[in-house]
Amino acid sequence: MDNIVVIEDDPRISEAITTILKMSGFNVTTAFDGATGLKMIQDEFPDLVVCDVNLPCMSGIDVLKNVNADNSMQMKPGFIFVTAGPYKEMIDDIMSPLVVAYISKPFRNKEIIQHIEGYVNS
Amino acid sequence: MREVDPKYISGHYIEFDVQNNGKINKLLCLTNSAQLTPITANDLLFDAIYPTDLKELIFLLENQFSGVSFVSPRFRTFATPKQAHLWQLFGEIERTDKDAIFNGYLFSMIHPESPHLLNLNDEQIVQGLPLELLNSQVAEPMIANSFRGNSFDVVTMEPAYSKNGIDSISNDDLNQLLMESYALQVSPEKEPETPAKKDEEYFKFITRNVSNLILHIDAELNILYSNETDSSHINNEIAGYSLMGFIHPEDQQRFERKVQQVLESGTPTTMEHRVVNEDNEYVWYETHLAPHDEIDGNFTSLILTCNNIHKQKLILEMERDVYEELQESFETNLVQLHENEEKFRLISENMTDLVCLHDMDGTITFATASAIELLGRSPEALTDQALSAFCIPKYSELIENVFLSLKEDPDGIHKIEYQLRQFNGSHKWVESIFKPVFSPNGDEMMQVQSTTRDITCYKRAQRESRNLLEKARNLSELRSQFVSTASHQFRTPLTIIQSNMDLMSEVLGHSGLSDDSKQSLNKMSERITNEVNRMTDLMDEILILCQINGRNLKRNTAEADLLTCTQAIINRLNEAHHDIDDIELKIEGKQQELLIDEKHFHHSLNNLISNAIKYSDGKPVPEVTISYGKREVQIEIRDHGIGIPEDELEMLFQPFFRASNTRKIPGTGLGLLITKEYLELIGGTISCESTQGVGSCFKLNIPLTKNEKEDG
Repeated sequence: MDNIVVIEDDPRISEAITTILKMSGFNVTTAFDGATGLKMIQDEFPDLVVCDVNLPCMSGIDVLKNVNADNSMQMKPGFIFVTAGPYKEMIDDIMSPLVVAYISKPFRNKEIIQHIEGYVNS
Repeated sequence: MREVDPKYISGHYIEFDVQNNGKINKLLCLTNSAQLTPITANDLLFDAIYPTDLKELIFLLENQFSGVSFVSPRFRTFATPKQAHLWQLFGEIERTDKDAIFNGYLFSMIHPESPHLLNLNDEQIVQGLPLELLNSQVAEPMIANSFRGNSFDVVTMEPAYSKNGIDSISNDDLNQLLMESYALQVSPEKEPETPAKKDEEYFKFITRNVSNLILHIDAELNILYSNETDSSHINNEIAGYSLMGFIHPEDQQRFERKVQQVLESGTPTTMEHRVVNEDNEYVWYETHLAPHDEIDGNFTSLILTCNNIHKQKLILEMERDVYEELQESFETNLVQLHENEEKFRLISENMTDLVCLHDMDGTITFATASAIELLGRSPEALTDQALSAFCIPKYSELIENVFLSLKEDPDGIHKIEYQLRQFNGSHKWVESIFKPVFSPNGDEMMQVQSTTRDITCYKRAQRESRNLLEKARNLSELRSQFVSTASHQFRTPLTIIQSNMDLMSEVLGHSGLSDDSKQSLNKMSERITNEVNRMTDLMDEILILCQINGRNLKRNTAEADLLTCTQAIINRLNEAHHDIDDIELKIEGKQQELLIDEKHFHHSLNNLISNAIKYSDGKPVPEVTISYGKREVQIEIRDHGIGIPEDELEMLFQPFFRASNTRKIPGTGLGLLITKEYLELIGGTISCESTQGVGSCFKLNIPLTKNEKEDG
């Protein structure tokens, strides 16, 4: 069973994503801001992070940067960004190997599942 | 009249009879043309003088001057006219006058140009006589032997200089001597009879050799006689015709008046007029009109002496034209000069620019009156001061530096903007231009001239327009921001709808619903998803439109070559549409690199080609062609689809417009507008030709040189 951390500030969207993931058999923990999300990642070592960009406390991009820079983590999770804003270029600019996908809102549920399964199976 | 053997005649001389009382009875003129013609005294006169002087002589005669001695360049003669008829005239000459006539005759005989005349007949007389006389210095009367020819019987000569007390005769005095010395007596015993016909022929002959046209006309202006001069430009045989036929129509009235005036007053006059020949060419004449044939104090005809003055007239006209032209040009120049003067006065009096002369250290040596307006100080207050003394302190260095840089680079443009302090303490923005003034030989920089202009208004306007621009930019940014935020905000509910719709389908799919119910559910789910997609597209396009309208294309947007980008779009579309044949890209002309803003170009072209596919269901695939020209690139997208109704073509690029035949095919109605706005932003154009049911063709023209607007 793979562990997934969902960082999304909108509880309705967070709930929708969590439901989809749970229905697909993943262990899901959720955070509603960037800082909490980062701590959760550092504490729980998830396999994957589904993350918004525009977040309170710390942006999704900063979460990625922090994880990128954290040498204490032996296993680093993949990142799937799910966002409503034009952040693709900014994320591409970081050129992090952790980024798995960039999904624009509104998304289709199967779109997220396809990306996660693709990552988990690889 | 006796005949003179023409063989003896080679020059001019005169034969005449005198009466016992010493008066001339008859005259006969012989000429060097070996013709002997008995003539009247009138003829003699013509012969005796040069044609050019004829008119004057006739004038003298006709005006009845008495005892006029007339000198022509070649001949000297004398006339005392009684009437115009010289026969009478000479017949009445007194003895003393006769001397003069005779002198004229002798002068003719021994004229330097015709000395051979002296060889006539008797050598003793003809050769010896003058020489003897010249050499003898004797004041005795001499009688010459008669000529052996038929012309003279007896010639008596009388040296007359003794009377005048001339003691010696030199060759220089020859003419005078002869003039004064001789008298001639011709034997009266054989009085010749002059046939009138010969007189007339001779007259004609003489008058043929004059350059003037001589006419005798009656009071009705009929020509009674015309000489046969060769110099006239009209036909000589005009006797019997009316003179009016030869007078230029514009001169006829004037001419008639003159004739009338001469006939009535008996006073000759002169006028200028034009004479017309049969070819309708006209020539200017100066005509002397003299009254003639007096009967009881009334004149019945006129003698006209017409002198061709055409050449002089033309020259005069030409001179007048030239003069007029010069005059005109002079007047024009004068007017211009006045205008320029006036302009200069206006400029200097009303000039608002302050012009100063400075020495090389910047000290003002001269300032114009506009100092009062610009600085509130008199020009005198400026002299011996530096311009920097009148500016706001922080600009002093700027002005001082100009003088330094002028020395280093005299040819450069030295223009500065700074603030001047007025006498009343207020400030003015000014612009000063500094120029060096060189010594006359151009070697040395002597002074500096500055021109200072008030630019306060300009500065204020500049500031205001900058503020306005700033505001506009802020507004535009605000709008973009708003649209961007709104788009973001709309995405959240759409995400929740879409996501939960998917969840609902998933949950209900696994429930115990009948197949029919599941099918209906799927249809509903699909409709909701389609609308969510449409909403999303609409928001995306509004966002892009907003960016383009606000000239908000980011400068750091990735650029790509047009061809590469086009090929990528086609490849992606080919991948996405497995069900149709691949679209091929045709390239024409010499391929050149053209960098374009990848994101927006991609959006625009992708939209056009997607449309072409979308509206060509079941038809051959669209064709895309790129043609490289010299100045621009054309991209043509031609499809064989449903086409656009003709009456809707002009609304094609209106926001949210969708053609009436596309209702069943989804679309936002913003795609073409975005493409058009984007192309216009980069200086390009888009055009569309379409026939409903046949297909559409969109042509994009993009300039090869990058449009500056794109950077704006």
